[in-house]
Amino acid sequence: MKENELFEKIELFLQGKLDDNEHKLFKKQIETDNELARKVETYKSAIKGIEISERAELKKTLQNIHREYIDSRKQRNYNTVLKIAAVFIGFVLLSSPFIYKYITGGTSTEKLFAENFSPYPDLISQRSETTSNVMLLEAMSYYKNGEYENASVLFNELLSHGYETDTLLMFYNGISILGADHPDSAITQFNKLIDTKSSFSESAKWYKALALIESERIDEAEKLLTTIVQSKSYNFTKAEKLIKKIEKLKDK
Amino acid sequence: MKILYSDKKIVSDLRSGDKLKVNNTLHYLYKSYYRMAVNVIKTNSGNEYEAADVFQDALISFYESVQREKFRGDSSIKTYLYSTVRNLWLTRLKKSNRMVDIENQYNNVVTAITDKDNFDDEQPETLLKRIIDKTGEQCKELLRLYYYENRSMKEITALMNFSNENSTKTQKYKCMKKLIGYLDTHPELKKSLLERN
Repeated sequence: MKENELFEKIELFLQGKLDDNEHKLFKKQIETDNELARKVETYKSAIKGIEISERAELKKTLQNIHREYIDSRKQRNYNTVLKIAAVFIGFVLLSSPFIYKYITGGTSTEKLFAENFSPYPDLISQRSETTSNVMLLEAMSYYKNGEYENASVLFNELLSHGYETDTLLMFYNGISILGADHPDSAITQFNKLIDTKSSFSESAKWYKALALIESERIDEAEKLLTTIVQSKSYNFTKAEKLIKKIEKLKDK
Repeated sequence: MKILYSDKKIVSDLRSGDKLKVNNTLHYLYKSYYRMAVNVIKTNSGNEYEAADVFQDALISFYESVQREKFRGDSSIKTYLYSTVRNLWLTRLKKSNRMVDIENQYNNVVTAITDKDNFDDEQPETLLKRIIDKTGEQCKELLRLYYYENRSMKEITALMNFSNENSTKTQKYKCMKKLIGYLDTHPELKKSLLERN
């Protein structure tokens, strides 16, 4: 057998791509032929060597990216200090009530959202099975710390593995997605709860209204808030105040 | 302005074979998910130094899954990275029998460094690099594409501008022959490679 053909056969053998008979035959040959066994081992070590060496190169690249990332973060912190200084100067300039009123005028959807968004209280920790589920505890801890992006990853994981029908988890997931600034995906989550008329569908309406405000769909938000007020459901007094602010915003 | 990449674009850029795109994507993944990894590890009694190391290993695992077409997008990249970081870290914790105890932080760092040193056995790695470099730039690239990135002969032919698949195949044979020849002169290195996971 020519050397290139032998290389090809060794490779197919190592990849498990020889058919059963050929594989058995070649294995037997290796067991009886020391020189062939040595060649197979060397071939295997060469492939392993390429893998290890490439992995090490990639690790080096990532370590460099890490250094750049840390440096840029330091730079960002420096820029933040400059921004704070600028804000301070701006504050001094705007401290005259007349100028302040003239320039800022009123309110914005962002402001309305920030004023009204707060996480729903933790009902999960009261459940008896929670303490045995580390991931659930971790998710709730992120949720309570306002680390919504991480919380939503874990809630998603839980919802696709064993908690598929848990409406309370769906609800917290929606709030986390909203807190992580993804109002459109949050609306999808809240719609599921509202459509199924689950125990959290009323509370989900309030958060959906906030998500609509965050997406700047204020007419839809106002409509939904009106139904909350009419049915006197979750947070209806806050909804009343919010409607007034939305109207002010629309008058601008 | 922050650029947003979809998971699909991340995977296709990593598979593009374009080094600039790959590099930009790795930067993007780092910027987007590094803090998440730090949070996971810090809440499980680790520190930022350990978080960086584990996160880089998780990115390597993701990169390899993409190249070997094992990452099919059944879960999001974020979920993949999150669970990999978490699993890698918990395995390391178990291995070193570390207690979740703030007083043991110092010992933890020492253990992590020792583990790392055992893993990155410097000398054979340097020798290995020297041997692979000796095969030449073209061989290095061809072997990387075939064995690490799992590319087909057809793809390699296009990426490296070979005239046809047969000449790529011949070239690959010549490169392997060179590498095997060098490894034959370093039996200790060969042995240590075969012992690695």
